[in-house]
Amino acid sequence: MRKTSDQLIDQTLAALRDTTPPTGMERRILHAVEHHAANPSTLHPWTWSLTAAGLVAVLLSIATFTLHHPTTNPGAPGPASGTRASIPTLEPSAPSSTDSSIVGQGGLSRENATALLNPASNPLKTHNSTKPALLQPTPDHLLCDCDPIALAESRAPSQPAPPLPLTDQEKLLRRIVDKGDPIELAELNAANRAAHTAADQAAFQSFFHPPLTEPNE
Amino acid sequence: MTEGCSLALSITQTTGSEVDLASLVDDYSPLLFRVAHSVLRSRPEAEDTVQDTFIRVLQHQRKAHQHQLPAIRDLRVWLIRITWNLALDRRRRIRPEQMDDLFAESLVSRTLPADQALHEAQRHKAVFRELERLPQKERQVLLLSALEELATTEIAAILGKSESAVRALLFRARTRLRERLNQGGTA
Repeated sequence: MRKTSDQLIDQTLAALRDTTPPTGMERRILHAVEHHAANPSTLHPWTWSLTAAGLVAVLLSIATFTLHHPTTNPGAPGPASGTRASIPTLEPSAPSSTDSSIVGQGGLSRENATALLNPASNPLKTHNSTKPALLQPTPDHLLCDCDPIALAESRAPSQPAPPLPLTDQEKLLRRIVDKGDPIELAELNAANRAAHTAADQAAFQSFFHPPLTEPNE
Repeated sequence: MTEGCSLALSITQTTGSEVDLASLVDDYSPLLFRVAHSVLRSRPEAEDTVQDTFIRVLQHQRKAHQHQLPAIRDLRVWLIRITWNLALDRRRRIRPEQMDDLFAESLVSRTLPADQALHEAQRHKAVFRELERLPQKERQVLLLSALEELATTEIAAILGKSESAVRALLFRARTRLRERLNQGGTA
């Protein structure tokens, strides 16, 4: 005989209700509670897991710090002690006369073009030309002696950034300057180039008659 | 059963009377076991849950002595609520449906022939499976209502809901479970 759904549900729920506890459960629970009352500091298993995880994290951080910061002998004379006088201080260079010679002149001489293309003398290409003035050495009393590595790194001379590669136009200019052709150098001047173009157009137009305008009817 | 155990710890109720913890274990262990078993459907897990419940009681008693906590208003509901929450926590670590095979077979009469016993066990398993598919609140109300010792007011206090909400949830749970069993052709 098949049961209805309600009978099946009731039978299942009644089985849950009629479940009897295992024999001796109260005694075991009382013993456990007594044990817990006698040892209140008993830690849960997850507490040990957390402690172990914390220890592993500390060890990993120490190992990482050691790998990224190799130890040095603090007794050895390093750059941190007594060598500040030998560190070259970079002074800002005096303003070059090429700036005024380039700007404001109508034409480009070979020397001016060379000065423009030379990264060492070009103020536009040296990005760190004013940085050394900011890197004045810090007084000793402001530095902490607890970390010689950090002190050495802070006192090390700064390395200027490498020059940027030339663009295509700059490479073309360099080729023209190296070649030294006066005509090509003169063409670099925009006024000369415009005059030359105008003369060419006038010469071209000279081959044609002026347009004849027919009288209006 | 518990004559050998003596615990000087006691729980203070609002009535002012102090209840010995050993007598609490004697009085409430079977009920708390059924509450935990209805959620977990595993006897060892249910027993561990009851044990954790009384350890919580012990810890609360210590805090009550230190911090002058207010007395417990309804000890029975308080204990069931602790057990219920601990069982729900434990349920996240185990899968009750894994225990259903054994429990469903234990519900079948041993006098039945093997094929009928297998069929009956499968139908009980289907009920447990559909019970797990119910919405959480409906399932909880249905399980607590299965323990006939609990009144609607007590279920409402355990779940933190009103009595009317408990009744509505119980009705919806029964209806939904019946429909799903009929659709599955279990009945």
